[in-house]
Amino acid sequence: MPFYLRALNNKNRWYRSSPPAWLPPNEIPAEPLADLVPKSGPNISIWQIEDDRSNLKRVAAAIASGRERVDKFDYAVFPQELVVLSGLPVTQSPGKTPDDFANTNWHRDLIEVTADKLVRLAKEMYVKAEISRILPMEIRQLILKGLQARQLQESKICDRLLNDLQGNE
Amino acid sequence: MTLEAIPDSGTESPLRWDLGEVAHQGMEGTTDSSGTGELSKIPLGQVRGPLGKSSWTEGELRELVFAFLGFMSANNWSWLGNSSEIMVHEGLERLFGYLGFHYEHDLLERPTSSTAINLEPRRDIGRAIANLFTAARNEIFEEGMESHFSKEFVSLIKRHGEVAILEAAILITSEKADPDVASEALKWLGQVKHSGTHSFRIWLLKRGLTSSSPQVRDGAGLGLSFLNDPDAIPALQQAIEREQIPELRRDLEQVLQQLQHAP
Repeated sequence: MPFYLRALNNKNRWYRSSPPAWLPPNEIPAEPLADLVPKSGPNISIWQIEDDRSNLKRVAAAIASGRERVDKFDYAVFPQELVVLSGLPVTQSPGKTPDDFANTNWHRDLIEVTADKLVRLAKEMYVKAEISRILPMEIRQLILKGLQARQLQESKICDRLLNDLQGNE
Repeated sequence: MTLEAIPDSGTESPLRWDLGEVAHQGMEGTTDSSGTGELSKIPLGQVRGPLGKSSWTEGELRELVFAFLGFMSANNWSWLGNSSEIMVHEGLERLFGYLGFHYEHDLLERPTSSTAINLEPRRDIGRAIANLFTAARNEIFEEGMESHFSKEFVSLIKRHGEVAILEAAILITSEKADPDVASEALKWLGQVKHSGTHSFRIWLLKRGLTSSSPQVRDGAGLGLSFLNDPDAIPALQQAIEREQIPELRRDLEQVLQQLQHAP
C-alpha cells in the first residue's frame, strides 16, 4: 500500500524519543497538532507517495517551489492505513503547486475534519510516521532540476524564490 | 600564551582561556590562524562562573564581546570612527580587571566623553533588536516564508552589521530570547548575504549549537547548512557527540555531511 506525505512546518515538534516528563502514558504533546490543523479552508492537504517512494522528491520540490524562499523541507511519511484508522475520508483534489502533474496525480485532501479525528490522526502519526528533513541546499537543487525538466512552471513560482534560486536577495 | 585566572577562594576549577593568543594576533593586526577571523577560541559560555562574580551584566558582556570583535574587525566599524580602538582597549581593560590582571595600552589618547557619545547608537540598535525579538514571540514562522521578524532582522543586520548581530547574540546566548524566535534568528543568520559579518555569524551559529534548547540547536544547525562553510565542521562534530535527542542528532549529521562535501 502506498504512503501519504504531509509537509510539516517544523519537525522538531515531533521529537518522540524525548517526550516531556509530564506527558501521561498514551498521550502526545499538543505541538504536533499545529502541523495538521487546516490553514486555508476546512481540509488537510496530503500527497500520495508511491511504494518505492520514487515520487517523494518531486513532491517535495513541488511543495517547496510554492514558497517564497529556499528552505528546509520537513515532512511526515506514513502508511495510508493511518488515515483509515483516524476515520478521515480522503478525496482526490488538485494541488496548487507549480507542478501540474503532481497536482493532478498525487494530491489528496482529508475532508470532513473534526477535532477528534484530527487528534486520532496526530496520535497515529506521532507513533508510526517517518519524520524526515531535506536540507535547503538539496531543495534548491531539486527545484532547479524541476525547472530544467519543465516539471515546474516558472510562471507559477514567485519572483522572490526565483531570485533566491539565482543567489540574489 | 594561555591566561589563567585563579578563582576566588570558595570557587572551583581555574579558568583557562586563549586570550593572550587572540589578543596578540589582534594587536598585530591579523586574524586567527584559520584566516576566518572567527572567535571560537573565546569560551564566552564560561564568562558566567568562577570569576569571583556570580554573573555578568548584559552591559559587561556586551563590552567583552565588543572588545574581541574590535580586535578582529576594528577597521570595519566606520561608524565608531577613531574611537573603536579605544573601546577595544577599554573593554580589555575591564575584562582583565575582572580576571584580576592589569592591562596597559598606550596606543591612543582617550578623547573626552567618546564612549558616552558612541554608546548611543548601540543602545538604539540594542533596543530595536530586543523589541523585535519580543514582538516576534507572537508570530508564527512558516517554512519557506518571510515574516515581519525575518525582514526586520535581515534589514538591521544589513544596516548595522556586527553591532546588530552582537545585540542578537546577547539575547540568544543568554537564553533570554524565546527559543522559537532564537531558532528563527539563527536560521536567518545563515541566509543573510553579508560578507562583512560572516565570521561573527558563524561564531554565533556555532554557539547556538551549545544552547540548552533543542529548537535553538536545530536553528543553529539549519543556519550552518545555509551558510555551508566547512569551518563549522569541528563544532558540528562536537554538537553531534553531545546531542541527546536522536532525531536532532540525525539532522545535525545531515548538515555535517553537507559541509563535508562543500566546495
